[in-house]
Amino acid sequence: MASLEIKDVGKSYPNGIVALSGINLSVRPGEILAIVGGSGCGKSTLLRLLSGLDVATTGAITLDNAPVSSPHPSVGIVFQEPRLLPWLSVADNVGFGIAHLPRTEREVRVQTALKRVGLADYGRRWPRELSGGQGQRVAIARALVAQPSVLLLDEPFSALDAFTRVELQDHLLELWADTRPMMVLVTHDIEEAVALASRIVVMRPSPGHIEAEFDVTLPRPRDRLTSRFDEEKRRVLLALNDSLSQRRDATVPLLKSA
Amino acid sequence: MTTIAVSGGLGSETLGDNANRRSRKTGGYAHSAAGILLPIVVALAWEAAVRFGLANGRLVPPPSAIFATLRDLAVIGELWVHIKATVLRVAAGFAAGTLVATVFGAIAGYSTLTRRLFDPTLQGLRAVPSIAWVPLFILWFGIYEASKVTLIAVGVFFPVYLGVLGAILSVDRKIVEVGRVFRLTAVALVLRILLPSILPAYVISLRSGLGLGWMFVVAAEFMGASEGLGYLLVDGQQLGKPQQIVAAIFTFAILGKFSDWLLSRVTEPFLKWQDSFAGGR
Ligand SMILES: Nc1ncnc2c1ncn2[C@@H]1O[C@H](COP(=O)(O)OP(=O)(O)OP(=O)(O)O)[C@@H](O)[C@H]1O
Ligand SMILES: [Mg+2]
Repeated sequence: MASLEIKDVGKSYPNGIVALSGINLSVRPGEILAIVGGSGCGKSTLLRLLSGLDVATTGAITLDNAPVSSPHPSVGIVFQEPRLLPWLSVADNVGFGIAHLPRTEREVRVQTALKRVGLADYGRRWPRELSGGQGQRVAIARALVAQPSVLLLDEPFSALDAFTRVELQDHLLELWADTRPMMVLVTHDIEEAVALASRIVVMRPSPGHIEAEFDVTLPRPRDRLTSRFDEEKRRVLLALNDSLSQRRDATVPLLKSA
Repeated sequence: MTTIAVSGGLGSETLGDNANRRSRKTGGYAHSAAGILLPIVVALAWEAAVRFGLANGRLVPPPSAIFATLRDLAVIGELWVHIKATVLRVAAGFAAGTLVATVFGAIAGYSTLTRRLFDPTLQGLRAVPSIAWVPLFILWFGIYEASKVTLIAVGVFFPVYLGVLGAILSVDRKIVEVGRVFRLTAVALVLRILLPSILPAYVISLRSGLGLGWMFVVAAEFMGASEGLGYLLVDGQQLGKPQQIVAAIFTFAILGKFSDWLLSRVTEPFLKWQDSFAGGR
């Protein structure tokens, strides 16, 4: 089982903005870690560091004891937008990262991945012929087809309506249950965090740091309509509010959705 | 138009994708038919006007006179000589201009340093009306083919260079990151991400480059040629043969349109993924 360690990580951008400082976190094997926090508190930055797309200014990130400094074959990422390549069919998009495999194996894997996200018949379409939610599902399939042991998701469902979002969250859970990769999920949506995560990390800005961290002990599958679910949501909200109350004077609400 | 085509012949087609493509094609033919209507009506009207003595048609010859001229030129074999000369010049100038422009544009787009060094100069040169080079090219390359092809190449160069450069600069960083996530090598990144994403803009710049190529071949042939459609123009003017001038213009129109159609036809398979607002041409 893979292990992902984040030690004393800080990141400052060339323009002088300190996006992260003193981040310590270890992602446990097979867990779903949700990162919540207001806009600009460095969630995307942290995820980009984990994916190796950017490099930390200080500290170290290690995957299986090897430092992460560039994209890693066993780390998959799903961005906020699908980012499909418009000149490739849906199937070719899904198979983009496994072009080195023999054709037959690639086709089998692509088809399986598409089936897993409920788009088995969509392989020959163009990305432009998909809805937003379908596009995001293809992006998830593209990340999964490389069979990553770590899957990073940056607000993958934030552009979707509430119904589609819940549906895709359930889909994602099924996928996760398959091989139980580590998942790090950045989200604005507390309900999403409580529904999916085994652990929730609350971040705060200026500079981005971890404010609170707690386990979600609800048994799976989780029913969103129970009072225990609501309790758990309230707990996260309180933690967020605590962290907000220290900046009551802030003019812009730090939390987009609650 | 689209609905007519779909209900017309493809009712049983369930693959929406396929039906769509075909209806577009049918629509396309109908569109080109509509486009040809106006010139035909005007030509027929003018022919009739001259026939019935409403106009004398000496300065603006009627279609029949133009076609007679074309036929005569074709029969004695001269038409092909002129067409061949002009087409070869455009082809050579277009190929050379495109090649150099693509290489320059790619380098300038890829490397910021090169862009800072060369782009301002090239932009400055672009401001020079290209015909202004003619005397210099004649001094440098003589009055024969080399100076003509160079002039055409210069005309083709700028739109293609700008097209390539602009396309590279506007490649979406987000899509490049997808390539990085899957750890593409530099070569694979160029082949699998950069090239396909600049292709649409590149094709457009090639088409405008080709258009300029046809424009400049006339200028080139004006500066002294013994064959070519531009020569027919000059010759027609000097000998007072307006029907020959219009015949040459007509041939230019056909060739220009045909070459543009050919170019877009050849590149079409690579661009069919595009989500343009007209859904194709
Ligand atoms: N490429 C960059 N260059 C400079 N500063 C950046 C860059 N990307 C992000 N920042 C800054 O770093 C901080 C953290 O940004 P980040 O995108 O990580 O926030 P976030 O938590 O993901 O916010 P959101 O929830 O709105 O997506 C912000 O202050 C932002 O302005
Ligand atoms: Mg973000």
